[in-house]
Formats: sequence, C-alpha cells, structure tokens
Amino acid sequence: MRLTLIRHASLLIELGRQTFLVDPLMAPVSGFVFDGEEQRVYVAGDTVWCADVGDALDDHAPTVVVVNAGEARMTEGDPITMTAQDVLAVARHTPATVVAVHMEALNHCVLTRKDLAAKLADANLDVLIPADGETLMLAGA
Amino acid sequence: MAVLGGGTAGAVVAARLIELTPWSVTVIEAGPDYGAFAAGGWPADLLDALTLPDTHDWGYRGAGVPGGAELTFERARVIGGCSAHNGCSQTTGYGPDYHRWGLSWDDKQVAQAMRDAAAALRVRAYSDDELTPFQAAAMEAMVACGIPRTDDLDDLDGGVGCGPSPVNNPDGVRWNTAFGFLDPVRAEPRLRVLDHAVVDHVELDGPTARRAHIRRHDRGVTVEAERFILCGGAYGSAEMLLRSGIGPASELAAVGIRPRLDLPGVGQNLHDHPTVELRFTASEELTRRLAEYGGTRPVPDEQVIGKARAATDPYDLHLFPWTERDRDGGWICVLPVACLTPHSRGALRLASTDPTAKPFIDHRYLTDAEGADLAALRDGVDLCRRLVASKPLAPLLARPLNAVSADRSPDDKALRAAFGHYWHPVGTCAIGDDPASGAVVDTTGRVHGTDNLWVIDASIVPTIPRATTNLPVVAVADHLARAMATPPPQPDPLENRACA
Repeated sequence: MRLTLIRHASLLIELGRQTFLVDPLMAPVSGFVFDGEEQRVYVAGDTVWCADVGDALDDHAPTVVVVNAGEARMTEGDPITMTAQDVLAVARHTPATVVAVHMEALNHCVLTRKDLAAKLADANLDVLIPADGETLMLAGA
Repeated sequence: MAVLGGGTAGAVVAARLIELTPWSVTVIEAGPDYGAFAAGGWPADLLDALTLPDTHDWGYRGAGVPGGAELTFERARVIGGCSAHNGCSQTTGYGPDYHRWGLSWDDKQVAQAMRDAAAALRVRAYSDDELTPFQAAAMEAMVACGIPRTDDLDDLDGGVGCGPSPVNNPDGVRWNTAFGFLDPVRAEPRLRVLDHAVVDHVELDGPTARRAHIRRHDRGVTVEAERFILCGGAYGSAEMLLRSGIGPASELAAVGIRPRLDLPGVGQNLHDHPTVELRFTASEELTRRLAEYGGTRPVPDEQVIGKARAATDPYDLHLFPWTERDRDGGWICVLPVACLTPHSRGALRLASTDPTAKPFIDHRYLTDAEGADLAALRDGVDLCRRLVASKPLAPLLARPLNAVSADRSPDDKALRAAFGHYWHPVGTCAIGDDPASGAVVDTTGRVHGTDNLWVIDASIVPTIPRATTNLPVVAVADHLARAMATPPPQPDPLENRACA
C-alpha cells in the first residue's frame, strides 16, 4: 500500500471569510490517499468542499472517498467539515464510492445522518452513511 | 465479487472464481469458518463421517404432511454448509433429469461435472467387507426382493439396483466443500471469508445490486461489490431475495418490505424427497454382531442405497437404511423409503424482516392432486415390508416402533405418522425463462430483472434429481461458476469485415 499526503488550502482562505479567527487554528489541513491493490481510498479529513479537494479527486481518481461531514463548527465562524451541500458536490464530482462519516458522535456537528440522507435522496445521489461501528467492505471485481 | 453464503455451493463458486479469474472474492458466511482442514481447527463432530452432527443447525422447522407433526429441517450453519454435516452419500442420479433444467450442458458435460465434483470431495465406494452387519443384511434383503446388486450409484445411466454408496469420507473425515474447494485457494489474498456474518438484505438501485447489508456481532457491515452471488441454499437464498424486496410483491408488502422487483416465483416451488420410515429395535443377534463389528472399527450409520421402481422408469424410489442409538445405548434400525420424483410443491415465505427470524416453511408434502407421491411411498413401504420379512433381514429386527412397521397393511394415517424427508430441499429460486411462470433466475443463474445479482445453489434446481442432492449441487455450482468466469466469445471484427 502506498500513502500520499494531500495538502488542502487553508479552509478559510478558500472560503474567504473570517480568516483571522479560524485559520490559525485549522491550517494546514491534510488529506490522505491510500493506494491498495484493488482500491484507492482518499480520506479527505477535516475539510469543506474546495478546489483542492476537487483537484485531489481529479489527480488521484480514487475508487473510494471518505469525507468528514457533520457541518462541524467552532463557536464562531463557518463550517470546518462538510455540509450536506459539500457532500453533494463531492458525489457529483466523482464516480467513486463516497462515504460520509463524522456525524452525531461529536457535539460540534450539526448535520445529522438523517438530514444528510434526506438531501442525498432528494438529489438522487448514492452516498454511504455508515452507522457508528459499522464496517464497510469493498469486495471489488 | 461478493458470495453471500459459504455453504456447499458458495465454497465451490468462490474457489472456482478465484482460480479462473483475477477477481477478488469476499465470502459472507453466517456460521464459523474453522479454516483449512490442515490447520486442525475443526470440531470433531463435523469431521466425523460416521454419524450426523446437530451442533451447527440453523434451526429451521415447518409443516410436515397436512395434519401431521411439525418437522425439523436441519441445515448446517458453517463454512461448507450442509456438506459439513450430511450423511456423505454422493449419488449422481439419473442423467436425463439434468437436461430438464434448461442449462447449457450435454451428457458429457454433466458426467464430467459429476466426476469433477466427486474427485474434489474425494468420493470413494464402500467395499462389501466394510459394511456393518445391518447394512450387509439390508443389501442382501434388497437383492432377495428383486433389486439387483449394482455398483452404478455414480452412473448417470444406471437403473434399478442396490449397492454400497459412494461416500466422501477419506480416513473417516467428512470431506466437505470447504476442504475440497476453498482449502486449495485459501492462501490467495484475493479471497476473504467473513464468518459469523448474517446477510440482512441486498440493496438494489433499479436493476443493479449496489451493496449487501450484513449483521456481524451486533454491528453492521456494508459490502460493496460489482457482482453478488447468493449461495444460501433452498431456504437461505429465498430469504435473502425476499428481504431485499425481490419476490411476490403482495407477499412482500404484507411483511412490510417495499417491493423492488416483482418475481412471483421466489420462495415457491419448494420441494424435497418425501420419505416414510419403518423403525425397529435391533434383535439380540444384531446387537451382538454390531458389538463384534464395533470392536474392531467404527460403526457408520448408513452405507447402502437401493434404487427401486414404483411408477416411473427407470427408478423413483431410494432405500437408504441406517442404524442409530437409542437413549439406552441400544440400536434402532431404520428402513426409510424416499420418493425421488415428487409432484407436490410448497413454499417459503418470510415471517419478519428480521434476518434472525425463521421463515414459514411449508413443503405441502403429499398434496399433489393425483396422489402420486403418496402412491409411490405406499409402494415403497410395501417393498420395505418385504425386506423386513426377508431371510437376510428378519433375524436382525425385533420390535416395531411405529404403526407402519407393525401393520401388514398400514393405512394412509399410519404412513403419514411415519413421514419424514430426505434433507434435500430445492426449487425456491428456480431456473427458467419466464418470470411470470415462476422462474427466478435465467440459465446462468442471474436473477431475472437484475444485471449483477446471481443465485447459484440448490434453490435454482427447478425439478429435484433422483439423487442425494449434495453432489449435483456441487456440479451445478461448478458449471455455472466456470461459465461466469468464461465470457461468451466476442464476434471477430476481421471475420465480419471479410464477410462484408
């Protein structure tokens, strides 16, 4: 297995707002690409939908993308993990299997699995939302 | 590739696809995977070919004959499935039966598939000097009653006859399909076996199976694959399809399942070989002779099979005598007869969406309008009574243990009270061309109306063969797995151009 580090731009520079508050707390933000024999898994980590995430999807063409959803927020400022619209954007951008995690177990996450599932269903998009403790196996072929 | 069910057929399918394709294969098995035989982790009772173990039973139960007692339908919940707990008789049955299934195999291919299956399962024939006193006497009794001695239980052209059964018990070990097929490919990293994992349902997106939802140790597992093959057997595969919303739409809605694909045949056409059992205590002579035999070697329950004719050529009855121990350590002699060409058909339907809940199973045994099944069994019972009275067997039997054994002319009530089955359920996801007429899968095993979901196991058998079903199921699983691994030839563009 090969591991590649993806350096995302600072969240708030990408968003262009409230840089002075959150940027020093969050940046730099990193994702990882795990290269296996059958699957290439991009774990985006704590990031919102931004150009660097799109570039990573284009450059590495993963078969699986794991995104942190939950629309997590600090006490002030914009989301620091993906909103439902961000997850939709990822799913529209890539043919890979998209897995949305990072919801409900953390008290700064405001987006629930149920709300995300409803928005995905409305958009007719197929994204996996595993329960806590659930295992995802990729049988391939 | 996900193989849902690592039983008799699932082990064959998974192994063959690993061997013949570059695909990765994940096997989902509800029971334990004890690993390769050589690793030594298998429990002794599953390895012991002498008798039938009951430690890994799914616990299926259901109706027997109408008005009769409920029956248990033993199915093994372990890698290797029922091939890991069965009686080890490996008969091929009658060749022409296999052409009625609609598969693309000719006589030679059926025969080769049976030979390949027998070789993988290390099948051999008992020699006459291995037979227990009861088995030897039962075979002599068959000969005395006009059933000739043969050695053609592995011959697809065979007719009426009796002989020691082909058996897969090398060195006394029940050589199941996990040993015969999975063990040679276990070192291959593309093979993964997830045991103790129960399939809840397969998620469909239109005609495409997207993922299987699994329960394992009270947690969820989601399996994504490009192809899914159900290998849960006649009960399990139908249950998985129904929980996935594939089946009779009105029946699914009644259980609270949203119908995804209306296939009226799922769960229908359930049939098995119906049986009636004559039962006796062993005489003092037999008890003494079995003790002598057992003093030098183990005593197998069953070794001999007879093929006889009631109404259908070339044969339509199996006689498969066995001995078992009673509570006091004495011997019970059982003389069962099975109708190999049953006309009655039953059904399986879900009781709940819960994958741990057992379904309603009703084989509707002996309910065919013509009464042919009961008539065949009545002829079979008459034959068994002649065996009982014959010179070789009579001295070995003592007290009759049921009415059908005691009465010279048992009535239908006595026959129904002695009713049993041969542990050969088939037919709930039948091969056929027309879904409206009950077909569930096409001749490749693919579920009608889907593009990447198959069923390959006993459930696709549309009409039961005149055989113990383990070997035929292995043969058909191997045949369809090989076909899946070998795409049909593409047109040659150069040839097309030349024609133009």
